[in-house]
Amino acid sequence: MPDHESKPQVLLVDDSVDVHRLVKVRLKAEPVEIISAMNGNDGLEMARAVNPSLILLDLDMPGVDGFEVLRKLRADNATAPIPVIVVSGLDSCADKVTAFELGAADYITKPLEFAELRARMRSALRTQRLLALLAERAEVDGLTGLGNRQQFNRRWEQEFASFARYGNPLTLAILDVDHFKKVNDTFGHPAGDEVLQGFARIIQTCIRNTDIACRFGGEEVAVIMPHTTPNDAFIVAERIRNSLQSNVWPRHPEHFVTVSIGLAGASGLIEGLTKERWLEAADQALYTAKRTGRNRVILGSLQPGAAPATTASPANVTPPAARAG
Amino acid sequence: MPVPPNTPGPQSQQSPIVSEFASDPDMAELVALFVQEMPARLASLKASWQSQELSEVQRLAHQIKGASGGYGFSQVGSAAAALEKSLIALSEGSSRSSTDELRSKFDELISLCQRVRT
Repeated sequence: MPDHESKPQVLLVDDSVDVHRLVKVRLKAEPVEIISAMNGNDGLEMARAVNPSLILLDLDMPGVDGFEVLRKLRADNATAPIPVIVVSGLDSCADKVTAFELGAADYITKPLEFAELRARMRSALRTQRLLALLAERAEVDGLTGLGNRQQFNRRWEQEFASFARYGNPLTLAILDVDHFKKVNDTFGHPAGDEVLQGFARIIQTCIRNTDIACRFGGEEVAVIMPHTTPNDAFIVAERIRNSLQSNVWPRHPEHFVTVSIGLAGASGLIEGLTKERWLEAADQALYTAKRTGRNRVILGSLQPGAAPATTASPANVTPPAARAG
Repeated sequence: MPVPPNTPGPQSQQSPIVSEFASDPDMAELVALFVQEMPARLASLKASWQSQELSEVQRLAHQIKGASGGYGFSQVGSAAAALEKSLIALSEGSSRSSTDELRSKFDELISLCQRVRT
């Protein structure tokens, strides 16, 4: 039995009390939770507040009518993806065409045939699930299961916006496997793929589930760490570096793999900082880590005019795989 | 079912109209509520008619049309739809609905509404 919370929410927007009563009774066996709005404005507000899986929308309402609600739902990025089934007593062809043109997923006329409504609702929810899955897959890296570049771009923009607005701590890490080409050249591409997958797995076990790890392409991974100060991120980065260097690889147990990590983070607002500049600072720190011997974590600086990459990791322990260092 | 068009009166009490969902236990409570609220609906419908507020009559007819079918009174729903249609035609300036036609559709709806029973 799925719990109450996991049921998809269906928002019914209709000015008729009768319709609300009937829908609640007729859909009570469906695995959905019905929430009610009695007019267009309340409907829009609730759609934004609860982000329902589906909206059943009456067209003919006093004040803000269904067409207007549809228009406003589509104009708002947060509500635009929610599928809408228009439920209407207006059954003219022109109204149907207008509703579909405004982005309705489906149209059903009153008086309601509830068997039909249930069938159309299930179909809309099914499509919605597939679309959500597709959107999710489109942002996942096939090899490692981490996010891809696209996910990074979207999330980095979000997290930077949150930082710029609230000044919460935020740190960005860029990780690059040392001498990865050598693994590929020596042990073959399947071995290289396994290293990338193992690397991704280690990252996932070391970060928090609110952190976002995305493969940048090649052997480079970026980790966005919201609400994390540079110092806390440094500890996480060290943990990743340590886990990786001590990992034994089934295909080449004699050959260890290490990683260089560049960090750039802030504990609070920094005037004039851009998300591009931030990414650059993390990249610079990574470059410094590479240049100064690899297998280390370098914390870059975000202060304007400051020399990049100042703090070196305490990675003076020679890793088991000296030749990979 | 033949309904005398112009005479909502004592005869209208004769054959009660029962919900098509009368035997559905899920619906019993809702049907009862609908029947119980009917006198109030009728009163507003008649009041609007008497004060010539045709747009209000149209709105109420639209509501009854939407609700009746759902509660299992499709006959009432059809009558409400017919009245709504005539009123729309009238407000759009179509000459098709005469006053008599409107009157008879209004009376039919009233008559049917008075006969709904649980």
